[in-house]
Amino acid sequence: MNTVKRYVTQGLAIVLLLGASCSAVAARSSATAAPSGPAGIQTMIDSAEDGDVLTIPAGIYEEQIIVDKSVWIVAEGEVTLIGNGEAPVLHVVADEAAIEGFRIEQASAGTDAPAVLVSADRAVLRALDIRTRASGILLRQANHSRLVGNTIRPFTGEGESTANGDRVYNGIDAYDSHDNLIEGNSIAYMNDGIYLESSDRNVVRRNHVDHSRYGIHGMFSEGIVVTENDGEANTTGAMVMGVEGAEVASNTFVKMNESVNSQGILLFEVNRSRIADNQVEGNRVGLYIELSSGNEFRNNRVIRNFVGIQLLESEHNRFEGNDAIGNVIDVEATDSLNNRLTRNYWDAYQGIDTDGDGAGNLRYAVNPFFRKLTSETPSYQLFFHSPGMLFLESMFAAGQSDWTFDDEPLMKPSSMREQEYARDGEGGAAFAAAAVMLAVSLLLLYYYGGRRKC
Amino acid sequence: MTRHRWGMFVLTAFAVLITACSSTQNPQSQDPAQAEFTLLTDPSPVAAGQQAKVAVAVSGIADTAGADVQLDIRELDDPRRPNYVTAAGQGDSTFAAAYTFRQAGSYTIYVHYYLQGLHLTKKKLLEVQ
Repeated sequence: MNTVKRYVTQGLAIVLLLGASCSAVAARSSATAAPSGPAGIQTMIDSAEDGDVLTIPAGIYEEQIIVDKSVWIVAEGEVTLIGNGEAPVLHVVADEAAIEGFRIEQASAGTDAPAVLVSADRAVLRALDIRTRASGILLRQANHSRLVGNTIRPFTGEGESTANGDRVYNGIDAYDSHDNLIEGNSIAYMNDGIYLESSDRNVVRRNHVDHSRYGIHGMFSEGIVVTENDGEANTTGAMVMGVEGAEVASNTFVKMNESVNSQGILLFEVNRSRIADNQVEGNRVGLYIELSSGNEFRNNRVIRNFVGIQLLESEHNRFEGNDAIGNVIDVEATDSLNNRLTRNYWDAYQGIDTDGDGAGNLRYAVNPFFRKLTSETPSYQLFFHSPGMLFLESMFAAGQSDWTFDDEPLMKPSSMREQEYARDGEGGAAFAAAAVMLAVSLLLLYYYGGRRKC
Repeated sequence: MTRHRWGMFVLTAFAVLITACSSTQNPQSQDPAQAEFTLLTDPSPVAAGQQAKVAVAVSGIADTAGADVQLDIRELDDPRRPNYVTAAGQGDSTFAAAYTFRQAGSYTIYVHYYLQGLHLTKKKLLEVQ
């Protein structure tokens, strides 16, 4: 009996050992090989239920996936999904699906299929590393979704210099998709980094775009919010067109001077919007504004552009608290009346502040002489700020009624004003500390001196 | 004398260098305010339901060779929906496309002009009878 028991125990141990070995081999092979086909991700999705969490083992998966269930698909380790067909590599069609941590390669030449297509609501795409010959992520009638922390670059095969012939696609491209959050994504070498068309109330926040045409491009999208993004070496940092009630704030678009036509922020037919706290530096035009009215431009830093602010057929805009530093031409306004400029800093302003309110006593007149001269003969730009040019400019006073004026130009830029404010705060604290110390010392003197004698 | 000859050589080399740098074909910047797009139609005025030729004459841009022009013609019943029509170059800074306007009314047409990273947009209105 004991012998039988021993054989059974040994047999079970061998079976368990074999099972364990097989599992280990399977696990190892899934980390290195391509478990497409029956063991692929689509099979796992097909057998899942809504609400399931699917953990995908590390490996390379050559398949195109349709997520038609509300599942959360998470990469465990390095998961690479490669698509070579006419369809998107990953297509989300079910609401409330989430995909996280994948590397996705759209390697098909000659197709417009994106790496990822979302045509459902409340999707989450997080930490995807996308390499694509076409668009990175397309949103089509996809609402309330979140695209967070993804990286998008063109796919280039060995020895190839461009993604898909001469055509370059957009990184994130939304059409008829509303109320989405696009945050913390990094996009480079695409056509437009983030493109929104007819897509309302999307929030585009803390993204980085470089070496693309437009960093952020919003077209006919109401109430979009573009904040805290940064871009460099794009043709234009942000273009917003055909929009009411947008907010473009705290963005930084610098080093755009690789293109002779670069613009920091371009607004076309934008109305009743707020453009604030942005920094636009090193462009042909810092803020380009056309057919736009009723906007508020506040506390922007417009630095080292050829033209700081250019207005064309734009009226009733208000500029306040902005810094214009190192621009060749501060403001150029064509067919643009009734714009209000007040309490901005212009480094070209030469005036005095006798009453100490921080603003000059004389208004700042933007003399168009240099602009007119250089627009007719660009080589005269060589004489920028030369003594002779400044003298000629001072002599030119024709048509002053059409000039642009700042009623109360500030004497110091915002950075210096902030430092003074901080110093004022420090001074107040020091005064309070000194007062407390004085009071304590007086109390001590009274206690150890006068009071004991009584 | 030798020093004088060396001086002349250095000056000549410097002049050649400057000339070579100046003659490099750098792309010209384009002031968007200088660009003008004039909308032309054939027939004029355009009648609803009949195919028309819609053309854009470009001026204020030094060289339009190789430019791509798209007309975004907004339909009256769905003005938020983009409707891009490619206008082909006619060789005289004019770009044209055939289009049939379905209804009578005032159409908004956005002209998009692309050339080597330059993108200019102008808004035009067209009355269709």
